[in-house]
Amino acid sequence: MPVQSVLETITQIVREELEDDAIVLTPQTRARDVPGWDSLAHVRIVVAIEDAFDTEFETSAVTGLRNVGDLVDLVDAAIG
Amino acid sequence: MTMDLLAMPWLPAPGEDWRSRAKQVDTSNKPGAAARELAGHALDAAHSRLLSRRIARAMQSGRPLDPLTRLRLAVLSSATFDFIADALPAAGARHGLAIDLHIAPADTIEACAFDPGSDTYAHCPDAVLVLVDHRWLGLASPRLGLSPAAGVDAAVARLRGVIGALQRGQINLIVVPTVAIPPLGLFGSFDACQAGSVRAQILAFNARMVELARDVGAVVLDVAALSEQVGTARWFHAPSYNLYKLPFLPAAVPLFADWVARLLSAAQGKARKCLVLDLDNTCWGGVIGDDGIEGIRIGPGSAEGESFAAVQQAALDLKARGVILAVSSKNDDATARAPFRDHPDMLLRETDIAVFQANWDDKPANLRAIADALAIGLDALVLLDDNAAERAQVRSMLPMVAVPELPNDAAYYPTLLLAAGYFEAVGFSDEDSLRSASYHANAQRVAIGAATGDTGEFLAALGMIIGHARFDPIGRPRIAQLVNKSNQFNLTTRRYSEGAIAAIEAEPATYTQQTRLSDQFGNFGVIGVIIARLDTAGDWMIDTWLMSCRVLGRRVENAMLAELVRQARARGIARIHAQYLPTAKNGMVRDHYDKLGFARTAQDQDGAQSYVLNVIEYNVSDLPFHHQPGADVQA
Repeated sequence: MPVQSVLETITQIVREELEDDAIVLTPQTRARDVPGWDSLAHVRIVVAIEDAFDTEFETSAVTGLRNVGDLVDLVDAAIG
Repeated sequence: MTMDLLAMPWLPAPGEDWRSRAKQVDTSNKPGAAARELAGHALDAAHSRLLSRRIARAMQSGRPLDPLTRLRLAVLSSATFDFIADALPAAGARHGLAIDLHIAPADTIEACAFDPGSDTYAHCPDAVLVLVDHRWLGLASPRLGLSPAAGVDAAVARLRGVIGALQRGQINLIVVPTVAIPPLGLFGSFDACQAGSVRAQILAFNARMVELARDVGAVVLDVAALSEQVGTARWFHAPSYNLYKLPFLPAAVPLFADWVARLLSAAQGKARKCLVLDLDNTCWGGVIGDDGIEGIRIGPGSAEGESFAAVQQAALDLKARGVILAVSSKNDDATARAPFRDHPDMLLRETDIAVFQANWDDKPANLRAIADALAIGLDALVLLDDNAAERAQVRSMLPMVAVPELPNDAAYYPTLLLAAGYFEAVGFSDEDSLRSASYHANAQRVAIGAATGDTGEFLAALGMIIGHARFDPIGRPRIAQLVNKSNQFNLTTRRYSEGAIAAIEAEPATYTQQTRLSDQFGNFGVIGVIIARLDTAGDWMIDTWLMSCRVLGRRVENAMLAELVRQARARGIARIHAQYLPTAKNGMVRDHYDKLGFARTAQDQDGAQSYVLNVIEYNVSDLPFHHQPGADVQA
């Protein structure tokens, strides 16, 4: 799956979670840059991404995320 | 296939337009009805969250949410509850509730329960859910060489303290959990034999918890059973606990929320009451009209026959606990009845079926006829039907009827039917086990009515025996059940748990009355309840008056009032005040007090009506009852 489509899927999930269709994510976007992306929203987003790609991230990988690009890389690694 | 309960396979999958429709719930004309329909699908966590948010929005805007019943729920949880909260209002709508939720911060259970000024009490909850796990209870580690009993005692005492605090805080409905057993065998099989193993400690705790709940009138949420059904190796999800302090697998959230909602719904008297069975390929293999009685598959001799026998056995088991059975089948009546009469391997017989509808009308028409014949709502029905087209038709025309999805293999029918939680209960009484017989007797009574044609003669011919008594421990479970389940003949719809009933029973100034009825066809047991409180003027105020709808039209209400007046006179009470508080379901008793000769004193804009009866002037008329000797002489 190309990077762009993983990013698109993640963007869609974040928009649904935060109920804001205007959100635009780039690999450099950090959670704190997005209004409403707090720690509870973060859990919901990560779990929803795991569901969407039918995978489960390792605990250490989840705690080390810096930005959306890391999340995309994590999905890429998980889905091969 | 294997059965994945987490996917809630008894619910149909959400369609293409589900998401866009869910987003319109809070702005729709009938948000309650829309939410209930949308909630009737197999919703994952994300779907559940979307719908829950819209329900919360509709609630905040103050829109009426009928047909949903509003329930204020406070949650005290040892672990993170926010993600479970995401799914609860959606699950509530599925079970007829509009859940208004307040969640205490994680692991502040005692701080909130013991502080009368806490936000938990400020929410004025109708119910409080206490959710704790083995860690909070100190049951997470083996106690080898230590006294295992002391650990269990301490765990029970901790929860008992919380329950006691909530009861002092006037919380009427308290829900407490059993505890799931983590799949961490220390000795292996020997864990079962070693009292200090985590497994043995939790098993001992759960047994004590169930006793405690019964003693104090709390309701048990059997988390241990849920975790077993899911599989504990799946249920316990260490990454989610370590990362987020989630008490179990995130994917289990929708099912967990459904278990909570169905229990709360049952405690509000909203559990379903009647299982309607299709026949061909639901109760037996094959089509009776084509295959004939020799050709259908039922009972031993074939694997398919065994599957359908298991469906019939499940139906009979439900009947034995008070669920009414009915039949709706597209067949000629005589053809459909033949296996019930003549097939030696049928477990179900005609006498098991309260209403038998075999004709060529569509299913919705037959379901309406069944509900009418039983004098219950359509929302009390569950339809078991193998035909996907019929299921879809009923869901679209009668969205209040529950219609489980069924796989092709009938071997799965019983598990799916029972896993869906339609017939959830918070108690079980002798009356429950006799209910089906009672509905049958009703059919015979209707026949007498048709023969005599005159109401007075009909009532006299029934040979009714009535008895009144104060509340007592023997009647208490049934009284609590009536108080919590009666919707239609219920003047104030106040719900009291069994524990609260016991407390009312003990109030010296409060008059309580339970009324029993039997006739020549059967014994109804307790069918009427009155609670009257002494007000400051020395008059009685009727707090609760309700009756089972099974005894409508028999002048039982007149007999109950005659007894109430007799007791009032014996105490020198001059006036009895009363209220009618309208709900979506109790319109049938709007004129109850007018008919009984009370004077109306006030009516407010919500439709609530106030009444008073002058005890001295009231004339007791002749009534068609024999009195049960000894029952109504208690002061």
